Amino acid sequence: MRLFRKTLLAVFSCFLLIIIILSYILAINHVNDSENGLIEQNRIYGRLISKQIEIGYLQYDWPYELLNELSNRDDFIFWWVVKGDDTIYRSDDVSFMRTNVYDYFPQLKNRTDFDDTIYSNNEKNYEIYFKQFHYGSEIWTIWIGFSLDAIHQTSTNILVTVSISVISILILIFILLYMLMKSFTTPIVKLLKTVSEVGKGNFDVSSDIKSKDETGQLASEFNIMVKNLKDSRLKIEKYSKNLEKLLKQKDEFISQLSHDLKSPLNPLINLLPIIEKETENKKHREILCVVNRNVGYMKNLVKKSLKLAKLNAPSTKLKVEDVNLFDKINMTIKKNDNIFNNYNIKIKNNVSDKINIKADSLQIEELFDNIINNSIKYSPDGGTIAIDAKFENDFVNVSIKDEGNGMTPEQIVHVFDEFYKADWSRHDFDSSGLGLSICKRIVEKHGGRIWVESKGVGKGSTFYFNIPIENVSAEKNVSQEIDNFLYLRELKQKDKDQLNDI
Amino acid sequence: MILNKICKLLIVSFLSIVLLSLSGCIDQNNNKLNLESSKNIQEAVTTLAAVGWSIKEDYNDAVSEAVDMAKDGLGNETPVFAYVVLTPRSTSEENSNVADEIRNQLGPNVKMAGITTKLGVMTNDGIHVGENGSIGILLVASENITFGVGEVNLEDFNSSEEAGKTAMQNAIADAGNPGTSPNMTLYIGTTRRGDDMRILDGIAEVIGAESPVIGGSANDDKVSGLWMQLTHRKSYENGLILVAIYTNLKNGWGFETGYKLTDHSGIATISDGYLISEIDDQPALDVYDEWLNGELYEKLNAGEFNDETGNISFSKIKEFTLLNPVARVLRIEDGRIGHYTVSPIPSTEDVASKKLRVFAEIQEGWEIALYRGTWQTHMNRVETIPNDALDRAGLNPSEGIFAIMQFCNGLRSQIPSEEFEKVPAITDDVLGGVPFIGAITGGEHGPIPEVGRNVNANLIECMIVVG
Repeated sequence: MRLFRKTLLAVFSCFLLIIIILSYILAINHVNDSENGLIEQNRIYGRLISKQIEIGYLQYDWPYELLNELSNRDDFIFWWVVKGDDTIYRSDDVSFMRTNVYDYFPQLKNRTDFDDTIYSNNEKNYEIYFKQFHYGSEIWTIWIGFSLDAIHQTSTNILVTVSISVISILILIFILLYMLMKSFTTPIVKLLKTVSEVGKGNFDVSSDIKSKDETGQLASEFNIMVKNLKDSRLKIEKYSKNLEKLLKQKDEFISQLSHDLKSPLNPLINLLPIIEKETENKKHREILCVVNRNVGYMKNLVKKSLKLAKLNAPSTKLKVEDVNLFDKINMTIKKNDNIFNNYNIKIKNNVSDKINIKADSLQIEELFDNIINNSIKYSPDGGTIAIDAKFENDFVNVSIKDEGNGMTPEQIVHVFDEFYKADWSRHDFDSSGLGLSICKRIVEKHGGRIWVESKGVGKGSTFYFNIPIENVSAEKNVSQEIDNFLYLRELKQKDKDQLNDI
Repeated sequence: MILNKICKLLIVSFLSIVLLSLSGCIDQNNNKLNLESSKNIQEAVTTLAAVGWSIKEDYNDAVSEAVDMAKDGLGNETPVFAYVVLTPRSTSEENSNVADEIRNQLGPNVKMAGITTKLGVMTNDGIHVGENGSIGILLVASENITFGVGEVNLEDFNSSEEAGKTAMQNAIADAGNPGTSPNMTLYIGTTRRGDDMRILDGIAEVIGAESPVIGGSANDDKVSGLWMQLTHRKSYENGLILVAIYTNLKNGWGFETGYKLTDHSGIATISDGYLISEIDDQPALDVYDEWLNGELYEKLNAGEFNDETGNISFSKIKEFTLLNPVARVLRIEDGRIGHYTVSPIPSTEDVASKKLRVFAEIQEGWEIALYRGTWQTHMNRVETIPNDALDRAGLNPSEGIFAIMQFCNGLRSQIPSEEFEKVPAITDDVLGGVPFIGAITGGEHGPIPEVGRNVNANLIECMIVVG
């Protein structure tokens, strides 16, 4: 709006300047034309009067009417009839009669041409027209003095009048334009303010625009939208509360269940290896070994479930600190060094030791542990796992590439789902189906994103995730709330499924 | 006899040469002297006539200044005649005192005739209008001019002819030339309505009808009767003063109106001399209006001439009628025709009775016609009248010794004041600097040579010049 006003003001000023310049040019032309016209008029008077004096000479018939007409002109200063001996014989003013003409105009004493000529006195703004004529045997001259002041005054008046008129009209136009513009912009500004308020989460505002034009319609639609948003928000709040309650119940349930499951498992875990060891019956020992393995699987499952439940809990906060990615990856590699050796798998940490992020150190360690373990799990003997990281915008993008089985597109879609296993035919007691889900939650908890790419089965997979360099602000906006809502809704559905599964 | 004539011729020629030489001096010095005082003019002229004037408030001072100025102009020459023009003071007594002071200042050896004027005194220097009045004096010192001043009090005579006759005889006697007609007679009359034509008839009985009698009637600013005629002997309110001018010098006169005769004319069938009841047996005002194409009644009906009381205003109606005056047409048996102007100014009563009041005599049986003019035509006459006078005298501009002018107040009132101020300058220019004095009068007298007699007319400018 400000730009528009500035532009309007500039255009207005230019227009005003152009009009005034044009007016000035017109006034100058008018002055020149008027001056020429005035000179010509006085020339005509001079010629007529001198001719009539010539004609009326014998009858002493002076052209009083013409002289009177001349004397009544606005530009008139004087008329003199000057005899051959330079004395003023007749004049409009008796005081000049019988005096010498050069007493008043000594500068004209040496002038020789008095017949139909003009003397201009530019300093004093007057002109004198001379016309000679015969008065009997003598040559007399009529002098007509006239002023150009009236013309200059008139031109000044015209200029002033035009300028005032133009300025007045333009000001009027400007005011009208301003008012018109304001009538357009005021509702838009009001609407903007309302939008801003709504943007801040204040749904109790409405745009008070009563115009029946498009702006009014827009405001009306916007008000309806705000009302709907408000209703939706109330519903979301209601859902959120319910969801929170459910989540809490779920967390409590899982926690309780895990604890309840974990508690009886502990004696089993502790006692079964002893029983297995003391049992001499080979058949029994094999059965006990199976039981023992399943108990271990169950323990792992309970442990992971507890971990995931904890991550899903909104109350769970990250302990943000400076984390050096290179060190963290090395630490994970070192922890799993036996496994790499067992499977003859090479791992390359290509990450720069200068990459630091703000993150929860334990969670990041868990993240790398899960992904690397997953890659090891599907890598062939002698395979290579390469870890890279690079800055991209405000994130650090990390990739873990293996030479494993690769994935089908359907597997790529579901790989981060809870309890999803790419190959159910493999009864893998080490896999709970929750590792990658936990990874996903950890990355999301840090404000990042995780995904996997594979060129197909047998062509290896690459897991990617990105983490903000700086920790994500805890501040929530509407979109985050909506995202949270959608996420919670999805989570709720998953939890339901999970509970059903359990 | 032949020898006498030759001697006279030689004397006249000699005097003419002298006068021409003097006139030449005037001409040579004219341009640079015109704007200076008459005193300077007369220094250059050496003697024969000079004009002095004053507008001083105190009349004693005014008279002294005017007389001194004129006398200075004459230099060593002794004045023999004084012509005085003055505006009346506020009372007759004051007027009488002024007249006495003039006589006192001039002394017993200077003949004097004087006339009161409206507005101011005109001389070569302009129109002199003082807050308390103005006075102008023309002094003449020429031995070649003999002045005879004759006067009567009109109230002493039952017959106007007799008054005129007596005044003329007195003038001739005063000049010391009994039995000889003067070259010109200067007439100083009264504005009070009188039988001026009868007076002129009486004068004609003495000097003949064709001897030019030129002059005007004394006036005052309000036409209130404060006018005065005065001589070196006495002052009059209703007097008749005639100045017989005898000279062997060139002399001439001008007597002309600025109007043009129209085709509208008729016979005054009923008139008492100054109130015409019928023209061609029709109501006089109807006829006059018809001559004016109904313009008079149209303006009367529109109330254009009315004053605040609803009566006809003298000053308003005269602005119209004085541009359309009446001419008296004189015809004589041999077919010659002359005419002169008479002011028609009807009053409220006149309009009601459809009569036409005039300010110069129109008797029953006299032929009258309509004149028309403008202020411009009057201004043009300002130039022609002194020229006529010079032409009749056979003088060139600047060759005269003196000139005396009368200018009708009715004419003056039609001319814009800024234009009327030019009248003395134009007159001075035409006369070539000849000293002149003029009065604004209320009725003029002069000859109509076409019909061989003198008349009393209105709206006239007239002049005599001697040189």
